[in-house]
Amino acid sequence: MPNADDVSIGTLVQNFLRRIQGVLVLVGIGAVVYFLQGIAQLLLVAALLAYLLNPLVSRLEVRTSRTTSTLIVFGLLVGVTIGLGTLLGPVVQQQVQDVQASVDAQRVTAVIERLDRRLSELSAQFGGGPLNLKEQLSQEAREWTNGLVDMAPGLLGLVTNVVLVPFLAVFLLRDGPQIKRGLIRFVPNRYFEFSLEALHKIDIQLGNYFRGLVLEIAIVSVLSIAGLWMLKVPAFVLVGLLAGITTVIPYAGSLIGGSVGVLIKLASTGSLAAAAPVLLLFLTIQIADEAFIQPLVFAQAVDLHPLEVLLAVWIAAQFFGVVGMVLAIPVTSAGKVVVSEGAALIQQYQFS
Amino acid sequence: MDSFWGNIFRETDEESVYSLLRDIPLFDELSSGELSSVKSILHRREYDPEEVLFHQGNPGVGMYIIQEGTIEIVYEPTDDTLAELSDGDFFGELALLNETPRSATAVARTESVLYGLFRPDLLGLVRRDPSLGVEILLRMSQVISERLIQTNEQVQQLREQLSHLKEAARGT
Repeated sequence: MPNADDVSIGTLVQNFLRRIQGVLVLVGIGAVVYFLQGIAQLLLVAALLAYLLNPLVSRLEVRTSRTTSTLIVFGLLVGVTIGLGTLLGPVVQQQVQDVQASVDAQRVTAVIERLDRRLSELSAQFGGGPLNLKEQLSQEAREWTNGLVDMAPGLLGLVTNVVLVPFLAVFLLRDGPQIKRGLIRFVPNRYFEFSLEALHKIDIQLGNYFRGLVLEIAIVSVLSIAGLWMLKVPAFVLVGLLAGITTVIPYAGSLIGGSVGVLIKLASTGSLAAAAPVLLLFLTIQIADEAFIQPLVFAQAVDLHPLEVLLAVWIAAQFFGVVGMVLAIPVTSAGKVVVSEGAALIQQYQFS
Repeated sequence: MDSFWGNIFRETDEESVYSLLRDIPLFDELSSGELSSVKSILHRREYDPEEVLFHQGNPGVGMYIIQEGTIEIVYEPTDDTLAELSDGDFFGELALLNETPRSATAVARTESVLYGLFRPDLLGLVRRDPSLGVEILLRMSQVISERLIQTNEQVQQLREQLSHLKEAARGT
């Protein structure tokens, strides 16, 4: 039988752990993110996937268990992915071959030389020296090629991730509500109701944001593919999808993705006049995205300041590489939602 | 099949939660399966003596069921005790229906264990299982209407007492 001293020490330790458990959890999350960046990236992508699919699983849960609903939704996702892959795979392969066939190295060199001459003339008028654009581009191209070769081991990792992410996402999706409840247990009593309400409001805002983002990507992709097809740009499906995905970067997203289309058109025709309509197409899509699509799909806009965009993309690129760059804006926007909703709610609460 | 996270965050007093829920008028007509659904959205909280559950004026988020301990409901401006609640009692159920601020402060007077049922979780349950949601909301409206009838009767009694007092004052 325990004596009184044992009980009091036990209670003291228990109370101490209870009081610092929130800090322990935060430190744990920080350590995981810092030391296991690879796993943190995987978890982030899996969590995003699970978050996007959660409404579908919740709807199916009316008729069957959560496990079955999760498996049905994932089964459908895998089926659609395989179906699209089967349908689009040959088209994409054909388009890549078309680009390889239509891109004439001599034609590209001729365009660059012409551009170099004109810019050097312009530079001379203002008292500057020759630009040597061709030499600079060759240097850039060599660096890019080396970069691509260095990325090869990363690509192997990407294949592993393609298997791991859905596996993680299935568990996160199925056990999401329990994970959330489990984590809320660590919140100290004084912040408990506030945390519940804040999580609920943030959940609504983030859900709207991410579903809006998916819709925006889909609309921009379809518009880009249609436009590129009409302008007879090789690899229109690939370039269109790229422009759609890069639209997550505000202000210049689809232009960045679309610039690949401009380059392909330039390389395949050797004519600036032929490439100009492609540039015009993406300018129009970018303006339409900012003016019409975003106000339509985002119920409450998550506006980021251009400086925030720049900093987010730069920091994410430093720590998490290419995947980080693509995820930088959604994660920053999500962070902004969390902070602004939390700040709005915190004023309504009295803590003690 | 028990889930992975269920094993990590396993709760120890499962049976006592079921018996606690069966004694609450809101859930007394639910089947074991339905009670299990309700239990899955409850939050277990432990409070030390003098710890505040919520403050008067804070946004109302949901209701609490006392498993063990004593909770005092205090009207803050005057520090009057409106009620002292103990094992098996529940409070704050109006916050499940609307977002009005808490009308009083709840303070634990002894070490207490409570289960919280909150609006976002209840709304989620209503969406997932509308028939169970309707059953709970119907039972809730019955409980609230019974309390309204009791309140009306008390108001009526107070009015009668007031008119008697007025008549007595006129007579003197």
